[in-house]
Amino acid sequence: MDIDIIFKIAAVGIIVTIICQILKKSDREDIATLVSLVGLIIVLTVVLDMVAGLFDSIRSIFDLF
Amino acid sequence: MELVKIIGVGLVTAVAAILLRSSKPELSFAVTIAGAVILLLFTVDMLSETIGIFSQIGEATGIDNTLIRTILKIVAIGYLVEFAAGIVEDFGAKSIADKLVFAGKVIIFAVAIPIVQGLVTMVSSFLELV
Repeated sequence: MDIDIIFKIAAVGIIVTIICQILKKSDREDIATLVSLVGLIIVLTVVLDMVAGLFDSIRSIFDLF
Repeated sequence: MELVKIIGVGLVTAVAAILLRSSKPELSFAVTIAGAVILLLFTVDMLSETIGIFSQIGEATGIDNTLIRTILKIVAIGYLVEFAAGIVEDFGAKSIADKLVFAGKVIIFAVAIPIVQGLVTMVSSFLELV
């Protein structure tokens, strides 16, 4: 749960950047934007799960709403 | 010992955010959120013990439970609003962060109103007795 998630997101970011560069050089611009979109969606779903977990733990501790 | 881990996570998140900011700004936004969530999860664990002790004190001294719950609710609201406003401000949306902080204050005020009402009714009942 600790730092490995941050490393994973950073890794996804770097990989997506490299793939986009390659695709741009071989003039497939549309696929490049598609790849970066897919990478963004994957990362956002992971982050969304984490935020949901945080809100659940806060709700359980503060027995808020 | 916890502090070292928290500082480590904070630094790593900052580095990852800067790394991704040049190529993929939106991913650096996600890294910042992830780092903030991890830091908050650490603090939430530590906070849960203090809250347990806090409620025990409440029961021991016989303070009304709703007071304790309201205080906890206000602490939680402040906690979450700070989390969200910090991230939003980090990405240049200063005005939205201010709106969030303002909304948090309004919600805290709305939550605290019943206590004020209770106080006023208590005082007025005393005055009638006199």
